[in-house]
Amino acid sequence: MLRRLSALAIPLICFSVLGLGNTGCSTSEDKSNVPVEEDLSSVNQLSQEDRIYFLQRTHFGFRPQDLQRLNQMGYENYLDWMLSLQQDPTLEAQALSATVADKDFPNTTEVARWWEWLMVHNDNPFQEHLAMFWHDHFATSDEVLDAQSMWWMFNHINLWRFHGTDNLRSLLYQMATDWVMLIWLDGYVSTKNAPNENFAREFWELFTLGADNGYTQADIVEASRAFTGYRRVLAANNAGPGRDQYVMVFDNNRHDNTSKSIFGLTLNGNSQQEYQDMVDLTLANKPVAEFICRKLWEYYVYPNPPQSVVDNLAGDLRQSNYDMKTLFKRIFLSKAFFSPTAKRSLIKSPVEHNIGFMRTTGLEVSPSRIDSSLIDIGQRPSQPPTVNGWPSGESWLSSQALLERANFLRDCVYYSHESAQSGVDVGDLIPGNKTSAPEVVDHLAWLLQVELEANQRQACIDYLNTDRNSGGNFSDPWNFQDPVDRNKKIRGLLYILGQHPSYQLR
Amino acid sequence: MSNGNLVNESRRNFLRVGAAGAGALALGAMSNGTSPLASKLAKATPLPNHKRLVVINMLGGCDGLNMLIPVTGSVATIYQTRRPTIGFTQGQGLSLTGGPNVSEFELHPSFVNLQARWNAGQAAFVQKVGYPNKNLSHFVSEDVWSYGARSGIASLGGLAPGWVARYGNLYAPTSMGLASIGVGRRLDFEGATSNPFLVSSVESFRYDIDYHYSNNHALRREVIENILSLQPATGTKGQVAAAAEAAYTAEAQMTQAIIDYEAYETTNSIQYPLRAGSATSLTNMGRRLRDIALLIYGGFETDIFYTGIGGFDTHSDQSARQVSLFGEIDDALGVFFTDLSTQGVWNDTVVVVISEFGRRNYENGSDGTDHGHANTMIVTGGPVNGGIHGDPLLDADLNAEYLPYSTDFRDVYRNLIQGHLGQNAAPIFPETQPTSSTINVV
Repeated sequence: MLRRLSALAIPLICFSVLGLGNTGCSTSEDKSNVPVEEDLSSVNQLSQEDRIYFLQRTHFGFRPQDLQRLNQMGYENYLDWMLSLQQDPTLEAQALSATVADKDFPNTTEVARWWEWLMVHNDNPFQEHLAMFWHDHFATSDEVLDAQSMWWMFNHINLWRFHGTDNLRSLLYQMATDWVMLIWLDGYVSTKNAPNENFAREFWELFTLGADNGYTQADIVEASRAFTGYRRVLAANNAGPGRDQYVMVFDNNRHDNTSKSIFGLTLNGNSQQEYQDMVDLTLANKPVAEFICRKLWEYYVYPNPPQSVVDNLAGDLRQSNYDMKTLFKRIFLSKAFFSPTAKRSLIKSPVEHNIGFMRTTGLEVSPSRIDSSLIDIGQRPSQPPTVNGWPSGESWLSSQALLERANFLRDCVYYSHESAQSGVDVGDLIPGNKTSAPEVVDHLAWLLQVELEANQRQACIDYLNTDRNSGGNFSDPWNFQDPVDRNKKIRGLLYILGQHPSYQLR
Repeated sequence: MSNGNLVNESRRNFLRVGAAGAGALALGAMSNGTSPLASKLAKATPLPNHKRLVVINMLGGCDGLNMLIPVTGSVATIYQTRRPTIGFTQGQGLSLTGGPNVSEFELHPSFVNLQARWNAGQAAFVQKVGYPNKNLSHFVSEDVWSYGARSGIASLGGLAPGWVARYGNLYAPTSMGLASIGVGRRLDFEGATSNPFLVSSVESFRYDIDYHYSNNHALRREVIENILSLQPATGTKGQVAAAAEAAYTAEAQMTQAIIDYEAYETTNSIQYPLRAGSATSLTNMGRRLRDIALLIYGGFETDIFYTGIGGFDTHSDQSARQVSLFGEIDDALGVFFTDLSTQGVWNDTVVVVISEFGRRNYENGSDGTDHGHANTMIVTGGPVNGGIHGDPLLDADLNAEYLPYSTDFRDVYRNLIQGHLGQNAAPIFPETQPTSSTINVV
C-alpha cells in the first residue's frame, strides 16, 4: 500500500497497490534499515523544494505555473494526469502549423522542429520528456526515410508521445511493427528466403535484455525468421491526386511460417502475430523487466541503482502484467526518488538543458535556432546517432558540449532582445517587489534552481552594479527602473547563472 | 565589481602551447568578448619531434576482404566463389607490386593515395586482426576495441575504462594530450582525468558574443570565469566547474590557432577534399583530418588524435558504398600527407585505420555482407615499415564462416605505443591475452 499524497498534505490515506514487495504503508514510527536511497515505500509528505525537484527531473526545467498546477491538483492527482498522456488537438494542430508546410510530405528538418516546438509548448512536458526516453531507448533515426515515407516519423514519435505509458507488452509490439523501425533495422527486407538478423539482434541486445544476456547467435538466427514479412509499397495517390506515399504492408508470402526454436522452446508459425508472440516469449522467459526498470531508474532517479531496487521494481512490473503507469507512480512516489542521493545526481542532456532554459525563462528562440543548436551540440531529436541512442551523463561535459550550451544561452538572450524592443520585457521575470540587486540575483537563482556559494552570489550582485566600455569596468549602480540596464543586465545574469555548474545538473 | 582571481592556478589545467613568447593578441581583444586568457598566446607553430598517433575508425564494421583483396592462388578462388557478385578479380584493384612488391593482393580501386604511400614504403596492412571470443554486436565489439580489453572494465583492475584515456592519464595528462574530432565522446576516452578535447569540429569551438552588448558580454565572461574558479572542487559540481574552465581556456587558444593555420594553408595552397557539388564545404573525413592538421600546426601537445566516419555497415549495396567511403578516406589522407609533409611532421606521424569487426566471408542476398570477425588494419605514416604484416591468409580462413583472428588488435597498438610514441604499453593493456604476436609495423 502506498501513501496518498496531497499538495495540502491533509488526510493521508493508504491504498492498495499490487500488494507486493517493499510497499508497506509505513508510518513515521516505522524503523527500517533500508537506506533511504533504496527505500521504495511511498513518501509521506513533500516540501515545496521536493515538488520543484520533481518538476526539474521530469519536465525540462521548472516554471512557476507548473508548480502552481501541481499544487492545485495535489501530487498524486498530478501524476495521474501527467501519466495519462492525453492528446490535446489544439496543441497538436498548433505544432504542425508552426513548423511543417505539408504534413504529408515533411522534410527531416520540419520533423525535428515540430517535436522541439512541442517540447517547449506542451503544458504536460513529461509527455515529451518520457518520449525522449523511449526515443533514446528504441533509438531510430529518420535519416533512413525518403520524401515519400518521411511522414511516418510523426507516427513514430507520437508512438512514444501518446503511448509511452502503455502496457510494456503492447508498447514492445507497437515498436516491433513500427514502420520506421522496420526500415531502420532492415525488417522490411527480411524475408523467409533471406532473413535479416539486424532487428532480431537489437530486439534483445538493446531493447529488452542487454548484450549477451540469455540468448545465443542461434536464437538470433531463428528469431530473424519470425521477424519476416513486411514490405514497403508505394501507394498511388495516398495523400491526394498525384501524391504517392510509401506505406508498409505485411505480406504473408514473405513471412517464414515454419516453426522456430528459440531459447530451447518452439515458436509455431503464426503469420503476422509472431511479432507479438516474440514479445510474449521474451517477456515470459527473460529478465526484460529488470532491464527496463534499471534503465528507467537511471533516467529518472540516479545512476547505478542497487540490484535490490531493480529486482523489487521488476518483480512488481511482472506482477502487474507490465503495467507501466503503476511502475512510474511507484518510482515517483518513492522515498528513494526524493532521497539526497537522487537529487542533483543526473547531468542534464542537451535537450533538457536547452528546452528547459527556454521554458523557464520564456526567452524563446525560433524553431530553426532551437534545431540548429541541438544539431551542433549533438542531440537532435529524431536523429539519434546509432541504434544505441545518445551517450549520457558525463559524456555531455566535454569542452565542446559545455561551450555549445553557453552558446545556446547566448542565442536566447541575444535574439530575445529583438522581441524586447517590440514590447516583451525580460524584467517581467522579476516579481514587482523584488527588484534590488540581491533580490534579483536570488530570484533568478531560484527560478533556474542554481545553488550559489556566498562569494558567487556576491559576484553576481557586483555584476549588476558594474558595466564595461572600451576603457574597462566602471561602477554602474543597478537600477531596475532603467529599461536599458534591465534588458542588458538581466539577460547577462541569466547567461551567467545558466553556466553555473549546478545548472548542468537536475 | 571586484576584479577577482580569474584563474584558480591550483585547479585549472592549463593547456600547453607551442613556443614561449610574447602574447600575439592585444588586450583590446577583450572588448569583443575574447577571453583575457588569449593574451597569453604565442603564434602557432608545430611542436618539433613530437610523436603523434592518428586513429581513424571506420564505424559499422568495414569489409576488409574487399579492401585488401586476395587475387592469386587458391585463397583468391575461394574468395571469388564466396563473393560471386561483390568480389574482385585480379587486375580490378590497384597493384601493390611497387614498393615492398606484393603480387598476391591488390588494393580496392579507391585507394589511389594509399597506393602512393605503399609505393614509398610507408603503408602497412596487418591481416587477420581481431580479439578473442568474437561478438557480432557492433556495440559489444566497439566496446572491446574501446576498452582494449575483452572482459570489460573488471579486467582492468580500476584503471580508466578507455585505452586512450589510460594512455593519456599516464603519458599525456593535459587537456590537449588527447583529442577526438567528429565522433562524439567515445568510450575510448572514458575515465580520462584531464577533460580531453572532444569536439565535433574545431571551427565550432567558439563562444558566441551578445552583439547588442559586446562590452558587457566581455564582462559576463569574466564573471563566469570568476564564478567557476570560486566553485569548491568537490563533487559533481566541482567536476562540472573544472570542465567548464577547461573549455574557456581551450577556446582562447583555438581561436588563435585557426587564424594562424588558415594563413599557412593559403600560403601553401593546401586544399582538403570538397563535397561533391560544393565549392566550400569539405567532406566529413576531409574536415576532420584538416582539423587534426590544424591542431598539430597550432602547437598543441596532442599524442593521440581520434576520428572516423560511419556507414561501413554494408549489409546491402556494398560495392557502391565502399567506393564512396574508401574514396572519402583516401582523398582526405592524400591531402593530409601533403599537409603534414609541408609542416615537416609526417615523419613524426602514424595513422592507423581500424574498424570494430570485419564481415562475413560470403556475401548475403542483398549485395552486401553481414557482421564478421577478423579484419585488416591499415597503418601509414613516415615511420611505418611498409608491407603486409600478420599471419598469411589461408584457404581454411576463407572457407570458414568468419575470418578467424590471429593477431590481437592490442598487439598492433602495443607496437605503435612502444615503437612510435615511445611509451611503455604494458600498463595500457593489462588484461592477459590468450594470443600474442610480435608486430613490427613501426
